[in-house]
Amino acid sequence: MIRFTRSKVQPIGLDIGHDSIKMLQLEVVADTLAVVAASCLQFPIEARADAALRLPTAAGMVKRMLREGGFSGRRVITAIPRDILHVKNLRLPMMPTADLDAAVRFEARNIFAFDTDEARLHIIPAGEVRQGGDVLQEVIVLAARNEDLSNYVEQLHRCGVIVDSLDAEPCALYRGVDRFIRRREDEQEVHVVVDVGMRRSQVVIGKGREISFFKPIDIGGLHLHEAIAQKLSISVEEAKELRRRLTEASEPDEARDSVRQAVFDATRSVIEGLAREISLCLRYHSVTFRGHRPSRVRLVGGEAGDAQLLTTLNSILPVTAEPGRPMLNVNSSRMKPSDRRGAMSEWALALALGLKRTEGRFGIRDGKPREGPAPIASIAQTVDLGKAIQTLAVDDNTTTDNSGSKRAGYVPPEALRPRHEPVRQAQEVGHA
Amino acid sequence: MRELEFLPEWYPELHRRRRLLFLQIWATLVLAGGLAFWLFLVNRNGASAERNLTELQVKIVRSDERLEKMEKLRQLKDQLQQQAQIQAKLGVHVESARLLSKVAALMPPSMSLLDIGLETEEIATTLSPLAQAALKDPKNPPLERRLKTRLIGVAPTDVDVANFITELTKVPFFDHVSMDYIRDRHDGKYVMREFQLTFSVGLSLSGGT
Repeated sequence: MIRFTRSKVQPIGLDIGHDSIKMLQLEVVADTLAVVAASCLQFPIEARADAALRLPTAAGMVKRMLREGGFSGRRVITAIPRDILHVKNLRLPMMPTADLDAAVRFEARNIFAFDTDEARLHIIPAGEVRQGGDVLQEVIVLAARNEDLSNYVEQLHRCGVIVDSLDAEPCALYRGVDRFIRRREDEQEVHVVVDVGMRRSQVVIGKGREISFFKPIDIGGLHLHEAIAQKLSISVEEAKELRRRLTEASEPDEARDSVRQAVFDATRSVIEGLAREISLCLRYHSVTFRGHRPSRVRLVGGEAGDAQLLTTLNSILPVTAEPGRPMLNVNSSRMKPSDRRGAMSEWALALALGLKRTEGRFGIRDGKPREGPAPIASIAQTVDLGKAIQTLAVDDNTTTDNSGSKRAGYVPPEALRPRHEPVRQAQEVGHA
Repeated sequence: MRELEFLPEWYPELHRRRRLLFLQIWATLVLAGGLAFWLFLVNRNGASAERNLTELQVKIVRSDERLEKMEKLRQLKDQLQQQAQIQAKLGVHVESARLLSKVAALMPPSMSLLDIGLETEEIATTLSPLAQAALKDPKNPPLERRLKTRLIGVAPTDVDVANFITELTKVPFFDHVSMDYIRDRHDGKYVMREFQLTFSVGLSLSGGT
């Protein structure tokens, strides 16, 4: 068929996860997106077990995927591993944008455990926050040591790819939301994206086009598998296979229901833990940033399709949790049928990475209008702000130690200090 | 949305340099290939030119040989021309003995010769004005040399004389055969017919001067 609109093939979005590698290449035709090629390969068991083996194994896998996947070119956009990305939140006095970067760089010297002169530093202005009577601006500072970045890029280069860009996962995940915002009223909506991965999850909250909150949570599919394995006295791989079978099975079966119940019982506490963490993130965001509230939580990532996870999250979270459908507005007809099952939430990061070089916004494929933004009161009714602040204060007390625990609360400890104290606040919300 | 970039600065530069290096390698390979092809063509053309040169040298040798032959022939021709010119000037030498033997062969047995006179005469050739203008040396026009032979003999009868004249006329190189006189001659008691004939033999060569 003759195409009259110019097609622009994008670099490949490369998502190197804990248990699999996903590659997705898009092309932009006018204001629509289409998949050029997509490929997903699972890591071998030994590579999943040993993190040191993952990238060397990935080299061969990526080469194979490039060779067999039908991709155009070798340019890839990928995200830096969460292990080498350090994230801190800073609250600074209101200042011009031009001065903000220098101020953050100055403050960053004291909040990171490494020399920031030898690191790549980026800031994301999260928004204005009220602290007592002052209005401060909160910034998310993302840093990665140059040495770590260079090593990672060198390892990627050995995979036979040309690294076009190295992104941060939270930004990439939120791009999947940003690129499809077209209406003016959507720009005021608060979007919550929860990426539930194999090893850990991460919560990204943003308003309109900008990210205002990001938090990694050390609960992922692996923890569910471990819980099942412990409960049923089976191996982790067997537990994974069991979960997969239960997820795929739809017909009621008495024998299977007992197993399902056992799995449900085993994973319930883990999922509830995740739900609590997400709930705290929502509360923190609601308290810190005034205005619109999120109406729903979108789950993406490899574990997002789990029905039990959705059920539990919906029972605990104050807002609806639903599986994100990142490929909804993308023509995915060229993908393999096996990759097109379900909500395709696992492709969210690869898609978002592949969108980095795109410009403009993309419409929905079926032409139906989107749902309007949630009413402001919807979450305010379900969240008791006073109780939330109280809860956060308790959490805060548990996380004011200097070690920067990963199970940190969501309000910087400095937020509770007297107003005459220096305004420099830092809280580690990432992994050191 | 703010886009973040963690790609180290050295990597795009490295990639750019790698591309440049590959480009240079390709350019070098193409150049080397072109040079090799050019050298191949040069060698091929050189070999072809050498073959042509050898062929030409062979032809030149052959031509030289022909030229030498032609030179010899030319020299011979010059020599012959010179001889022809000399001969044209001097005229053809006719041996008297051979002339006499020829005449004797033509004579009837009963005829006898009493006297023979040989005289060379030169007569200026009458030329048309056009031929005269074409002469190399107009002051010295070509001369026609003739050996005028006068025979005096006796024969029994006029018939014998007539037969003799007839035979002389038949000889192609005897021109202007004519009888000067015929008369009786008494020798003792015998009466004979005495006659005098003249004829000429052309001594000039055709084309000679």
